[in-house]
Amino acid sequence: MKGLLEFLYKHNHWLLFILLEGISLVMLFSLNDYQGSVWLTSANTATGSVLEVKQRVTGYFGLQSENERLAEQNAQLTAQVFGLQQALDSTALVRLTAETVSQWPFGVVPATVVENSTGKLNNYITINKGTADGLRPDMGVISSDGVVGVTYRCSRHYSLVLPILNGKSNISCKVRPGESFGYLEWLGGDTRTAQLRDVPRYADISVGDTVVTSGHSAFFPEGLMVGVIRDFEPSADNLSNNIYVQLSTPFAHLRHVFVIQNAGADERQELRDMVNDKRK
Amino acid sequence: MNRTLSRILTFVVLALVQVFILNKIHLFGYATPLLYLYFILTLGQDVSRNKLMLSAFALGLVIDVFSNTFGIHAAASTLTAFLRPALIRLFFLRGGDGEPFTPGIHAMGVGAFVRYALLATLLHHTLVFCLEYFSFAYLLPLAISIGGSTLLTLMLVMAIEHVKGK
Repeated sequence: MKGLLEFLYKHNHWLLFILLEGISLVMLFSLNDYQGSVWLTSANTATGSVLEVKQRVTGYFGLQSENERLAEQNAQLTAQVFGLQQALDSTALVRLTAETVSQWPFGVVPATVVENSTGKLNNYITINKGTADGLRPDMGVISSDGVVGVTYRCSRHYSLVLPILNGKSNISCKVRPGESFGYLEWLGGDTRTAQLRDVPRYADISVGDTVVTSGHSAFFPEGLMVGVIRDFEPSADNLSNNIYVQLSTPFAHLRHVFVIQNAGADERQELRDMVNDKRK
Repeated sequence: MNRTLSRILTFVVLALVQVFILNKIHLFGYATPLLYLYFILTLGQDVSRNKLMLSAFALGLVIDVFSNTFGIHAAASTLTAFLRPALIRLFFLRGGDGEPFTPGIHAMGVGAFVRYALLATLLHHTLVFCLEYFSFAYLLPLAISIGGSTLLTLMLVMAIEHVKGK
């Protein structure tokens, strides 16, 4: 008996080895299909939370591309919406045929705001797309919430946007329903309010009416959301109304924007240039 | 105490690296480096045989739990730890002073350490992949997996040893 114990003590690592291998193999061959064995898998709380932390960390690595993918998709969808809206309008207004619709072959380029100011009178927004991406000055810029502004200067990879919140900005708009036209201006101050000018006194408007792009300017297709009428009063000369528009675009936290590559714009600009040249 | 702490740290780091990075590598669809073996290969000889086996088992179990392999790594690691003294003796005979040393290039020299590491890794990986496939029906993929993974693991082990030696 003593000999046996001595033998066991001397070779205790054999015992431990057999024990550990036994445990391992029992786990391998019995727990595989055993439902209760979840605590020995990556589904238990401890490993699960470790894996979740890891996912939370590594998830950030993919955010950039994920965002870009979503923005890209958004751009495509926005372009589709434009197309559909145009198609819808053309059927509603008769005589506008597929030919007319084809005059609005919008390309939409997603861009990210890299620099933005709202505190000054003449604010500018810098976006991360430029001529290399097919942008040129005088292209409409919108966000998912509404009109942002117009491209102003383009470098190879960046563009300066003249937003509504700039004293030089002047966007042709109309009020819906009622279809009266005016120009949107901004006079500094509140970043969520702009003024719609030159809307005649007789125009049928009321608080809560929607202000959308008129389509008269080449920058924007017709009917893009600009804002909602908050208030209006007769202008000093009593000829028109000064309309205060609650802008739908949150300029203070603008992040993703879309640039509308309006193919028609070039043609119109050419026409205008031609006329101007002749005048000289 | 300091040594224990650094060993625990090595344990944790190797486990994390294995679970989160190396487990995702399937070179050519076959080879996955199992670098956590480095811990078992190079744990100082002042650690008793039983402690070595227990820590190897624990490390294998951690890997198992995270990769849902139910004891495969625990079994292979325990076996490797159990056979480690014999493997070291096979390639490296110390001239009598019997001082405990830390297996590695520094103590054993490159040749002896490579041979020891190669055999230990091969043994460990063979067991891991045999248990994983649990069939000899796919001998070629099995052999490729074992060979490729052994090579990858060995390369990583040698790289770490090389960096440590500097």
